[in-house]
Amino acid sequence: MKDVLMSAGIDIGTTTTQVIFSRLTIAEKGGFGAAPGYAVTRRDVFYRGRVHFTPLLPDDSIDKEEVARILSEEFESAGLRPDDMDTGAVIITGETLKRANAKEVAESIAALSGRFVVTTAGPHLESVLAGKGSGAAELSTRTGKLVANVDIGGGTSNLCFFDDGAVLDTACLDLGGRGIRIENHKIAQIFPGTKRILEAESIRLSVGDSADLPSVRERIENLADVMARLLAEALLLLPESPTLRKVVTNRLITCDRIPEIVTLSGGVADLLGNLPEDPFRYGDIGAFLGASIARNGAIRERLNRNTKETLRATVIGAGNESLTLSGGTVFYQEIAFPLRDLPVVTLPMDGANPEAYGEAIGRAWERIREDGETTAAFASEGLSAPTYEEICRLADAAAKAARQKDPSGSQTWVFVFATDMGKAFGQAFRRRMPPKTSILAMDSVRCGDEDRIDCGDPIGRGDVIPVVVKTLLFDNGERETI
Amino acid sequence: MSDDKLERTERALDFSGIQAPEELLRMKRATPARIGIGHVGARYKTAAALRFGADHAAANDAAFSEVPEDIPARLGFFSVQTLCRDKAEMITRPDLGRYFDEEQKARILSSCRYAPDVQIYCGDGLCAPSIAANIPDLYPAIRDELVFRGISVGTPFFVRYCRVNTARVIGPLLNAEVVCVLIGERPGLLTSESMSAYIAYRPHPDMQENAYTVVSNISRFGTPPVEAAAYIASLIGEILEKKKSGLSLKQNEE
Repeated sequence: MKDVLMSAGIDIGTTTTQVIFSRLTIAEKGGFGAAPGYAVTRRDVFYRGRVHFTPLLPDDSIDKEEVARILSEEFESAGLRPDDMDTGAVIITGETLKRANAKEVAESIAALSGRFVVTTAGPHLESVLAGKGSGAAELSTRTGKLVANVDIGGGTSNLCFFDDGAVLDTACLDLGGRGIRIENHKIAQIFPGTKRILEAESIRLSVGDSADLPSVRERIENLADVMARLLAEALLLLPESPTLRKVVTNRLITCDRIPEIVTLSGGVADLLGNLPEDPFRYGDIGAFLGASIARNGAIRERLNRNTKETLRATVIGAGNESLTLSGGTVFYQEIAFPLRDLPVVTLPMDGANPEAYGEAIGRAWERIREDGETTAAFASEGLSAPTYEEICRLADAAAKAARQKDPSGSQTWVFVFATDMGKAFGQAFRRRMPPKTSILAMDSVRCGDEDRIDCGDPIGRGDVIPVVVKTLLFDNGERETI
Repeated sequence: MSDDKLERTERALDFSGIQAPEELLRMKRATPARIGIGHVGARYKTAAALRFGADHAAANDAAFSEVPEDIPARLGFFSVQTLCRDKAEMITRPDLGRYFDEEQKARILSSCRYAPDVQIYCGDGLCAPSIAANIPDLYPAIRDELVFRGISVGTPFFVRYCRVNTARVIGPLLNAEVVCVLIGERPGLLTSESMSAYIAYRPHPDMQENAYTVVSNISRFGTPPVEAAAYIASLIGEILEKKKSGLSLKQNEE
């Protein structure tokens, strides 16, 4: 079996564009006689690209050609070609997501390799990837403590709470090191999120102000202190002020547990401490924000400074952590891998009432057709150690619904379970469908409504499916289209 | 670890003097071992000692008890017996658990389909409860999938006082291309109803032990019987196709 997968992580963010390449080692779990099961046992980042400024055109759209040039430069410098990659995630994050041509840029990168997962990562996914890439998830597993990672980028700050390695909650704020852009010692641009903070806190800063004036500098320091305070509020370390609501990108943390450890990643995480001699070296207020965070008592007392990755946390998260593996016993036939962007529809499954499962499949099929989709992944928690009779009755009900919607068996039917029953259900379903129907049934994968999943070429002995679960929704229900 | 198992061992958890009970629970969930059960001097606490004793008794019972007479019939299986006269002999004489007398062999030969692609049978092995616990879900699921694939399946039966190596006799006797023995596993303190599947391509008296392909830990606490069945059916398909089993089947693909 192929036990090392080459993975690429590409992050086009508000301020920077980054590329990393890593090797994911896949190993078989379990001992003698165990049913197959695989896990990613090592994640080695073997190439870290330069940190490029995200190229923008004068009209504020992404400079697609320059992005393509950066990518080909990084591939060349690593001695790799896009075709060498087994998997990879391209994510467009932060403010860049709002650029008019974000979709077009994502598609042009996708064209580089058929194996890339392209996603315009929403704030939730970005928070999770950064938290995993920074090492915060691992820290929570190791210490058993509630760890909150804050990835402070140019335009946004992504929060993710981890409890024993699992994502507990996420949040995103329109607050970042590039909230104000400085050019030639003058304020050149103020991002909308920053404007809202300035208004709410009555701090007077405008485009054109000279950054060299002590009064302006004092107000910038004032602003940075407020930003640090807002981060502490979002982390539940300080009581919430009215200003916080004004900088929420998608949502705030809603869990009621206070983090025991705070880790920081993103560019600003490298700027904690005293202000450097030239604080405007990066053309923004990141150094001020870093100094303010380091001074903020609420954050400081819980801060763990030994973050594994700072500036590259998100891109490493994208390259290393976006892939999950299905259980080792799956069923598939007549599937042209990879399957991309399958919308997930969750269905209740009750062994005592299999008919309801079939009916839910019928209804869900109608609904996805109305949405203009050709197929979907039907996801259920599944049954723990089902009887054979339960499997047969569920497969009967599912096949009855499927044959009604698809009498000739010309569609693709995808089933996902959390419990270990994918192969059993898949075989039973297949026996009840027309020959050559496209079927994939896998387990040990959790996904929710409104997620989308990608399923790559089977690995191992062809018995495990690499899966990427993409959570692409803003909380207002607006789908981030690709 | 399944909640069921956790629940069983958690009863003996001892939180007295533990400053971070959440941490202890987290470690507890990571291992089936009897950690965090406290102690009195050098001894177990009463609850932990009772739990240990009860699990040990269940394991003993599993190994020493008999499969009730009516169980094979209820599964639609006929029964045969190896040369062992009783459980004690089966435990002390592994060699006798491999062979049948002429009468039993004649019974198998006359009751079974001859020269099937696959002969499946089950045996008590070292865990009598595993038959009733797993076979009702395991066997029909394997059979249905094999039949669907056009693979002929022999007549199933139950072997009392059965060892894995009965396969060396049954295979040639029925001229089966593949033999699959579903047999009770030596019980442990965590589960006393697990079984394994031992599958061999053309087993014969001189075969090597490494010619068996094994699927172990089949039980509701391990690999669920229906999922194990789906996997076993695929394995049998692969073994028929490649005409080999065990280590050489694995080496083949690497």
